[in-house]
Amino acid sequence: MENELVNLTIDNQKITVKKGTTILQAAKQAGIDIPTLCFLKDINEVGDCRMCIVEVEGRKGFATSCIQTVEEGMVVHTHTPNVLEARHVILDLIISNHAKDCLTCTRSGNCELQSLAVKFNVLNVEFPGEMTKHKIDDLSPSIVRDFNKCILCRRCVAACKNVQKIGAIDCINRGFESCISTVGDHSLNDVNCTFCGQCIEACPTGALHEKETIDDVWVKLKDPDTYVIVQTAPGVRVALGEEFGMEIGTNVTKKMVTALKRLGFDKVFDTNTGADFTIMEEANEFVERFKNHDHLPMITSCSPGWVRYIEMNYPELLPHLSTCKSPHQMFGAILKSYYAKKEGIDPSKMYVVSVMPCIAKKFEAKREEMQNDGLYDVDNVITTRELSRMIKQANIEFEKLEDSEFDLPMGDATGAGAIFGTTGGVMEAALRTAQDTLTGKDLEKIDFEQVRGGDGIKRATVNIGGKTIKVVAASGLANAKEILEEIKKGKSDYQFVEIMACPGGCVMGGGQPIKSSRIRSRSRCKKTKS
Amino acid sequence: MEENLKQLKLVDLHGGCIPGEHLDTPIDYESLKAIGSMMGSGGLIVMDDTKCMVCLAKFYLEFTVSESCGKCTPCRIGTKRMLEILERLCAGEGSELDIYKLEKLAVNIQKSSICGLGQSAPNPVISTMKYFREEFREHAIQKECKALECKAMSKIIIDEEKCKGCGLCQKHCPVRAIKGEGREKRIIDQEKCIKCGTCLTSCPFHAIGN
Ligand code: SF4
Ligand code: SF4
Ligand code: SF4
Ligand code: SF4
Ligand code: SF4
Ligand code: SF4
Repeated sequence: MENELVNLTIDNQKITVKKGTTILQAAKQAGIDIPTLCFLKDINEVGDCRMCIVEVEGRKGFATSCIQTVEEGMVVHTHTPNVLEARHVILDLIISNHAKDCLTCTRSGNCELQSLAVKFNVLNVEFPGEMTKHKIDDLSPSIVRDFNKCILCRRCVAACKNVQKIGAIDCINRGFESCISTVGDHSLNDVNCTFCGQCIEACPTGALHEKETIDDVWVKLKDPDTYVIVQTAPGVRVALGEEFGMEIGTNVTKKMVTALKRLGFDKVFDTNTGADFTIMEEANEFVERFKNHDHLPMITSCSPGWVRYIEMNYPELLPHLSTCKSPHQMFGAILKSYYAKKEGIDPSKMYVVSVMPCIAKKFEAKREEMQNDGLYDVDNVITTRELSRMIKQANIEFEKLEDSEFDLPMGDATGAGAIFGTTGGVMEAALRTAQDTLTGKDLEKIDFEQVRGGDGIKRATVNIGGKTIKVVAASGLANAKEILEEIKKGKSDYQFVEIMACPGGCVMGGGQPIKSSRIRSRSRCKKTKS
Repeated sequence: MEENLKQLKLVDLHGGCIPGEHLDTPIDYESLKAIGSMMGSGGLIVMDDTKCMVCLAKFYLEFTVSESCGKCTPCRIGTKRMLEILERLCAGEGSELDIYKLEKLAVNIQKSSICGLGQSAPNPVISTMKYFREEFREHAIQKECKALECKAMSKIIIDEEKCKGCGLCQKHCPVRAIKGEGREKRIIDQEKCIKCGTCLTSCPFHAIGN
C-alpha cells in the first residue's frame, strides 16, 4: 500500500507520486510553489487559512492542497485567474483585520504575512472594516502576546497542545470574535505555560515574541562604571549566522565573539565553562544519590522550561530533580563571587548578560533562588534573536568579521559542556565525569539507542565502575510527560534521566532564529556536536 | 397582489430568492436549483414591494456571521465584511464600488470556505443581486430605499397642505424633532429626527408621510 504510486497532472506537468501525498507536496516535487500560511509541516495541517487552494478539474469549489491527497488521474491547476483572485481576496481579508505596524514590528523582514503581502503586491486593503481589538499581554518575563497581529493560523496552538502536550493556549469564541486565549483569559504568566517558546517559533507573524530586554544591555554598556560581562550558550553559535543569511547550522563562534567585543562587552565568556561546573556538581550529586538510593532516577535541572513544567504538573516528583543550577546561572554566580574577587571587581558593579537560545531562561534568571546577597546571578538574559538585533543596530557587518577567541575566566573549558545544547549531552558529560570520579578511567562512548524513530527519546545502558546504569534522554515536554508518568507509577528502571523542554533540545529553543514554515529544519542539531 | 409580487423566498436561510416572474416554477429540487435557489426545508416566504431586498440580504448575513465557527478566513472575516457593506448600503452610506466588492466577496467566499456554512453564506446575496440588482443600485447611488425599509434613507415629512397646526405630533415625538408653535404648521428637523414613525400615526389629519 505504502509504495503504491499515483499519476496526476499539475499545471500541465505529468507527475507520479506516492499514494497519500498531498497536492501541496506533489506540487513541490514538481517544482511548483503554492503559497501557505497556516501550514506547518507535521505540526499544523488543517487548511484554515485557505491560501493553498487550487482548482481540481471536475470539482466544484477549490481544493485545499495542504490536506487533500492526490488521486489517480487528478488534474490540478495551481494558478488559474480564479485561484489567484481568491487567494488575493483571502490575503486581503487577513490583512484587513491585522495591525499593520511593520515599521515597528519585531518580525519585519522575517514575517510570513509580510512576505506574502509583498509577493501579492498588496498596495491597499480592498476590504477594510472593523478590526478585533486585543490587550497586549506582556506580564510574563518571557513572552509578549499581541493578538492585534494574530492571523488565527493556530500554529501556536498546535505547537503547545500537540507537540508539547501543554495546551496553555487555545482558540476561543466564534466567527469574527475568534481569538487565541488562555484559561480564563489570564496572562501566560498566570497559567500553565512553561515558557518553552515553541509557540513563538511556530508563529508566522509578530503576534508572539520574546520580552525584549536589549535596551537594558545598551544602557549598561554605555555606563563606564559597570563591568559588563556576556556569556553565550552553545546553542547560540550554531544559529546566530542564520540571522545574517548564512546556511542553517553554520558555526559562527569566532565571529560572534568578535561582534560581542565590538558591542563593548568587557569580557566575553563561554557558558560551557559554567556547564563544566554544572556537570561536575551533577556528577557528584549523582554518585552520592546512586550510592544511597536517594530518589532515583535523578533528573537533570538545566532546562528552566522543563523545571517550570515539573513544578506545575508533577510537584510530587520534585525530589528527583538534581539540585544543580543551570550552567549559565551557576556561571553567573561564580562570576559574581570567585571571579569578582580574583579580579578585584565590585560584584554590585558587575552586570552579567547571558545570550541564550531560550526564553524560559529570562524567567529563570528572575527567580528568587537565583540571587545571592541581593544580587542576581545573571542580570539579563537575551535570546539569539535579540543578539542579532544588537549586532544589526550597531551596524556591524557580521559576515565580514574577523575571528576572535573567548576570554578565559579561569583557564580552559573542558569541552564536555559543548554538547550541552543537544539532547543527551548533559547526561553524557555527567556520566563521563562520574566515571572519572569513581574509577579514574575514561568512559567509552555511550551508544544511545534511538527510541521511536529518533523522535525525542534516547535510552542507553552504561557500565560505570562495574555497575550497570540505565539512562534516558528526552527532549520535548510530551516525551517528558511519558517518562514522568512511568516514574510516578513506579515502572521506571532508570537511574539517570535528562530532560529538555524543547523538542530537539536547546538548539531548537524558543529564542532561536525563526525559520519560515517553508524551510524549518532540524539540521542545527547535528552541528552543535561538531 | 400578483402585480407587485416581488419575490418568492424559500424558507431556508441559505436558499436563494426568486422574483415574481418565476412564480410558475414547480417546487421541486431540480427546478429550484435551475433558477439559483434551493429547496432547503421546503418552506416559502412571499414578499411584496414593501420589503427591501438589501435589508433581507443583510438579515441573512447577520445570521451567518453569528453562526460562523471562525475556523477559516473567508467565512470568518469575509462574511463580516459582506455584512458591513450591506449595513453601509442600508444606511445610505454605500457606493457603487460597494456593489462590486460585495459580489467579489460573495463569489470568492462561496468557492473557498471550508464547510457548507461558509460556502452557502453568500447565496442570499448572490441571488438577491441577480434578480434585484436595481434595488442595490438605488441604495448605493440614489441613496433611496423604495420599500422604505431602510430608515436612514427615508425622510419623514409633514405635508404643508394637510397640516392644521394641532401640534399633536410634537407631543408624541420622543426626540423633540418637530418645530413650530401655536397654530403654525409644523416642520420636522431632519437632523434630529430618528425616523421612529411615532408621529405618522399620531396625526389625526394624516398629514405626515414618508
Ligand atoms: S506581523 Fe508581519 S505584517 Fe504584521 S506588522 Fe509585523 S511584520 Fe508587519
Ligand atoms: S511557551 Fe510553550 S507552554 Fe507556553 S504557550 Fe508557548 S508553547 Fe505553550
Ligand atoms: S499567535 Fe501566531 S501562531 Fe498563533 S494563531 Fe496567531 S498568528 Fe498563528
Ligand atoms: S530545552 Fe533549552 S531552550 Fe528549551 S526551555 Fe529548556 S533550556 Fe530553554
Ligand atoms: S466555512 Fe465552515 S469552517 Fe469555515 S469558518 Fe465558516 S463555519 Fe467555520
Ligand atoms: S418620526 Fe419620530 S422622531 Fe421623527 S418627527 Fe416623527 S415622532 Fe419625531
